[in-house]
Amino acid sequence: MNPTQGRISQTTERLSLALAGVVVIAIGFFAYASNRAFRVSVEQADSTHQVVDTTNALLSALKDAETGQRGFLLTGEDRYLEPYRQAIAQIPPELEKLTDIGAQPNRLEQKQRVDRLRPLVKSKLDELSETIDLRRSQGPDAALAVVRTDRGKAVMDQIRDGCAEIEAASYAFAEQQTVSARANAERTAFIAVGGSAGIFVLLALATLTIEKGTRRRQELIAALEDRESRLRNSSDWLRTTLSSIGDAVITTDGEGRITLLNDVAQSVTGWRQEDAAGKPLEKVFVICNEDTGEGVENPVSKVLREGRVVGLANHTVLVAKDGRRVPIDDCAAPIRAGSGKIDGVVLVFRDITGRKESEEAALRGIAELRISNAALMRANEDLNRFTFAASHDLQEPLRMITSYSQLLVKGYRGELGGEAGKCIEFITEGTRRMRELLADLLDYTRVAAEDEQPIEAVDLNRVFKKTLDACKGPIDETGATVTSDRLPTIQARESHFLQLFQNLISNSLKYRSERTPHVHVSAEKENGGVRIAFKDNGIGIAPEYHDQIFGVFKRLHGKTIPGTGIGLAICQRVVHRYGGEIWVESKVNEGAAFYFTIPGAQKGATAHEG
Amino acid sequence: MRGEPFRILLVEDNRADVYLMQKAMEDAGVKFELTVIEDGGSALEFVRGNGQYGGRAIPHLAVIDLSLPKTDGIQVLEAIRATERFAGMRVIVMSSSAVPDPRLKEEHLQVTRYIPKPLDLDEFLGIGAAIRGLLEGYASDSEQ
Repeated sequence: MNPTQGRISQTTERLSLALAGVVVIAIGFFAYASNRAFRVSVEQADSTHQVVDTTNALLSALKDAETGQRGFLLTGEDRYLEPYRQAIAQIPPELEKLTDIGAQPNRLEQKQRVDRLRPLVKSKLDELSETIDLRRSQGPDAALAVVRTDRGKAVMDQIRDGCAEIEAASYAFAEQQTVSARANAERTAFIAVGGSAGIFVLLALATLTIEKGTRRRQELIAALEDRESRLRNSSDWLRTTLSSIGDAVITTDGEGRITLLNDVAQSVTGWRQEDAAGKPLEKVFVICNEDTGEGVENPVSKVLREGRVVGLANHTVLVAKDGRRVPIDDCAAPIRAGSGKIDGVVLVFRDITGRKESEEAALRGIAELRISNAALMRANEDLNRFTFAASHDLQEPLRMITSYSQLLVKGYRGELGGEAGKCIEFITEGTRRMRELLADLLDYTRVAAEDEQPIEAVDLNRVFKKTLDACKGPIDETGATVTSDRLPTIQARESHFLQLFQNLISNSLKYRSERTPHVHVSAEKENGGVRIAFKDNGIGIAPEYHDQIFGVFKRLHGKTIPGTGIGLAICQRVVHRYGGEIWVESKVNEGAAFYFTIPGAQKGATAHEG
Repeated sequence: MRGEPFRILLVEDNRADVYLMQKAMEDAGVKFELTVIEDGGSALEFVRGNGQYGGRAIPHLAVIDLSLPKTDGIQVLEAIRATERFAGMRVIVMSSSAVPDPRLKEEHLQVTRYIPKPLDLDEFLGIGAAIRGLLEGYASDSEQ
């Protein structure tokens, strides 16, 4: 439930209430206005009746006066004058009454009409009194003569018209008032109905809003209760977690006073929670430099000052309550309240005695390894250099022995008989073998030497062809067939692979069986590199010798098959130089398959597919 | 065929090889007058005409072994090429190494031929024929 929402619905409530008020006031106002209009129109109806009564009374009084006058004129008896006198006394008050009747606007108009009526009435009354006087003084004829002029009748007609006019005006005004009162009443009814409907809607809205508000409050209360219980749970959970954590944990308040030590912290520092609580951190967490013994700044003060996570410098030791010195590794972080204000620090550290020891041991081990590795490399280099120099320099005296023993044979062939001839033969044979051995040793050491030949793209198909040329002699002699699949191009030194191919093929020819030798070279892609196989149908190799045949000067056969025993050692050296492996799969009398791999050879190379 | 023997300077410290060279040339039927110098220092003296080599004649051919004690064959060759009188002399360089010293390719040294010392006797004796070939070319050059 967010506060904006709450504010909005509150505003709606207030607005509905104000609107309802306005509607009620409007209804009251219009009802009042309508009522007033109705009253006015009722009053007007009353005054119209009064006007009609008064004009009738006026006209009737005038008629009574005229009737009295006629009686007197005809008889001359005074008793006829009695109604005449009564009537003329009645006429002026009736006239005055007329002017006072009706509502304000129409009363003014009526007054003007009455004022126009007044001289006519006077003229009538004058005519009546004049004829009465004439009857008395000159007799009935003179009086009747005046009557016969019809002057009185004309005036009487005018008076009647004037009265009718006053009545009509009064009726018209009353009618007008009634119409406006009806309109007013209709409007009021409409406003009352509309307003009621509006109020009903507003009431409904307000009810809904109030219900919503109630629901919201209930939700808020539930959420609050939930949060409170979760907080309670999480504080329990936190306590449990802190005490079961593998690292030592100390928490402080915003002033750096200890609030909690977990179990590990208690055992590392030697302080118990109840003794440490409330103490300043530096009393309990005493640290100094491992080498100098100088005090180190307390990380908690630093956190409180800088407000960020800080770590300890290396080589820090903790001085425990009992004086033990424990190498530790730690970091401290501020605890921030919701407002962002730092209200505590959490310090996490661990005893690194074990780690330090194993680190030191590992470092010692690495150093020793490095030394012995360097020594080994040096020894290996020395050995290689020695072998090269030896095989190179040994050639010189060997050449001498060879040349001169041959010279002896050449020069004294006939003269050297028996024993001497045999001796020369052995010398010649021994030197020949030694020459081979030295030549192979030289080849072997050259594989390891950093030579000037660059690494280039070497097409193994070309290497294969060159090998066939180099081995033409033994191939022709044995009638062998040597075939190959399409081979890949690899990044290498050609001389190395010539040696490798020549050694493997001549090996197959050397260790042939009674069958016509057949050697087949094939290649396969393997893990981004290539695997090349040389398969023959020769005498095969017993599994127990599969490893040792790659050793220097290792031979399985006596002098029946010539060889120095270094060919496969050279092969292995070449393959190892390119990070590959070489091995043989074979059984006695079932031929042999030599495999070697060159990793990464497919990069920029066109390895044979399938 | 010329009657005068060819003057040949052999700079070689291995007496066995000196003997074999002599034998090779004899077998090839080369008529020669051999001056053998066994170390680089003496070879330099010879080139410069110092001391006992004061009245030396210019050889028709020099055969120099590269691996000599103290001053090596290359230095001797440098001295030869630096001396005007010897400038046009043919020089065979020999070595027991199968791989020729890369310095031998330098143009100013004008190596006429590089021959690794063969391990086989017959091949060694074959050098005699190669020398004869060179000298015959030399003879026809000088007769012109």
